[in-house]
Amino acid sequence: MIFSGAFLMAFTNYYDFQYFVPNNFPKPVYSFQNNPIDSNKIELGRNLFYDPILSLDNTVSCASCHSPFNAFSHTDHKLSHGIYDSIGTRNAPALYNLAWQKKFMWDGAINHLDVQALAPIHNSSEMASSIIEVKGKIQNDKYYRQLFYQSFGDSNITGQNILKALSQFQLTLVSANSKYDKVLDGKAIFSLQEKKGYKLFLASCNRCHLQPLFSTYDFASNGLEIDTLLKDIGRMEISQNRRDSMLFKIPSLRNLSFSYPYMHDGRFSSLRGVLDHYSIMIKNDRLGINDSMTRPFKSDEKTDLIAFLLTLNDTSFVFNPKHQFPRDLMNKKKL
Amino acid sequence: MRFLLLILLLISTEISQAQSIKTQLRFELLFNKAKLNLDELYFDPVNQDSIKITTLKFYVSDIVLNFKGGNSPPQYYPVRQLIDFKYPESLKIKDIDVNQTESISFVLGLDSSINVSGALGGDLDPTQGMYWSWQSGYINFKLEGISKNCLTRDKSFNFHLGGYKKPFESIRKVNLYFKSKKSKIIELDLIHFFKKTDLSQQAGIMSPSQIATEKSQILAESFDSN
Repeated sequence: MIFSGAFLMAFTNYYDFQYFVPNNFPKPVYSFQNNPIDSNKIELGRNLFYDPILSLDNTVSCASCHSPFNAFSHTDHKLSHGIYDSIGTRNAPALYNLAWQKKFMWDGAINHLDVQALAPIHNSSEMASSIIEVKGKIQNDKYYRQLFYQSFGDSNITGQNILKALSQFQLTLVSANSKYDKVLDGKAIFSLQEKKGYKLFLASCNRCHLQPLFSTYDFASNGLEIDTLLKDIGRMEISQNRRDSMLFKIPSLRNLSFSYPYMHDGRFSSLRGVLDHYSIMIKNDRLGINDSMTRPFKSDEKTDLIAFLLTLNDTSFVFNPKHQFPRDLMNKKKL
Repeated sequence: MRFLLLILLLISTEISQAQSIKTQLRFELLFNKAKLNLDELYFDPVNQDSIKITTLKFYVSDIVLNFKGGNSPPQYYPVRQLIDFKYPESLKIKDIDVNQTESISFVLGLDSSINVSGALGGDLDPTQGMYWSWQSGYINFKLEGISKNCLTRDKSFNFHLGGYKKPFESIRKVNLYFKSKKSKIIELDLIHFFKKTDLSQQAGIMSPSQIATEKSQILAESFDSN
């Protein structure tokens, strides 16, 4: 076991240790010592996550674009949606295994999970509010004053505590119970086709989509040309460095059945479409595509690869009732 | 003998009283050497402009005090305080006695370790309006107002100066000698900033950039002690 005793203590309060820190996972990068996991804070974070109070007109919650049944993404929606039917410029990414990620958003603009929520709260195409506005609304809500008191011993709401509570809930979104995980644990076996797909995956995909998280969570070009309408240049927008043009965060490949469409702008609606793209991708210095990244998959190879990728679906994660809408939130107006 | 003891007692009491009187460090805002109040109009003779400052706040951190004669070693204080001219109580640095101080250095802004530490509280809470939302990082210095020369729709200017990563690090160290023995006031005269800023050409900075680092340098050089 590679994890520290302190870390174990941090998790035993809510779920059992094994659930949170899978044996085959590396050490998390999240600094738990600055936000020790606590069952009351998790529950408060879950309420905030599902409450449209975070948006300007109380219509959009985090869950609006990050549904539990879609592995906390927005299935069938290419770009994220916001208040007044506004449409964003990027696909809402799936949320899981966040404790293992150093940077957030497709361009890595956010450097810590605790401050990630500021981005959608303030974005005019998402919640169009502000943390100051949100703090004021929550402070005036008796239901939340009680929850904050239970969580932080203080009913005086602060931006810091709102953000830390949201992190607490999102940290519980650990997906590590797929067929792939069970195979690694000796509790299941791959079919012949899945095994062939796994071999192909290791040879062609694992460099960027590194197992067991199925991403290095680094930034890379995937050979897609810029969308001329969205004009999204990826990480260069943040770094202002030309070398970062069209680099986007590498997404994990877990739960793909629940989180289509794919890519930063949701331009592919099927896995075969994605593999078709990679199959015709050729060396391109402008897009940062070198020879090692090109791999013309044959049709049967694509089928084998997809068979393996589907073993990364984690239904116990997607349908976990502890991640779903908190019933108490429905009753808060009765207080 | 008793008389001598009484005198010694009186002297030591006076010394102890003198030592217990703390001198607080205070920031003041000037415009062309005259006191500046928020939301009042001032004439800028350099640019022939009328300027009103509506918001001025900045972070002061990592204060080092140097004492007279060099008898005592420099004293470091890990301060992270938001100076906001809307709130007079924020203009004094709490819990630091600058009574015997000869010179001071402080950091204008917050260093990179603070910028990567997630959600912080107090003066560093994101509800202070000094944290960017679209990308992580603190605004070190926020200057907002209205100017006749601005070509923006509502004549407003907004300088949000920050950035903790190379090559756009915008924190700056300020070193000052105190001229006065009595008061310890640090003045920020905004005329220096406007002398080097043509508001008709540039009325805003909202992200880390080369120009943000240059403006941060100008502001760091605009501080003086009384």
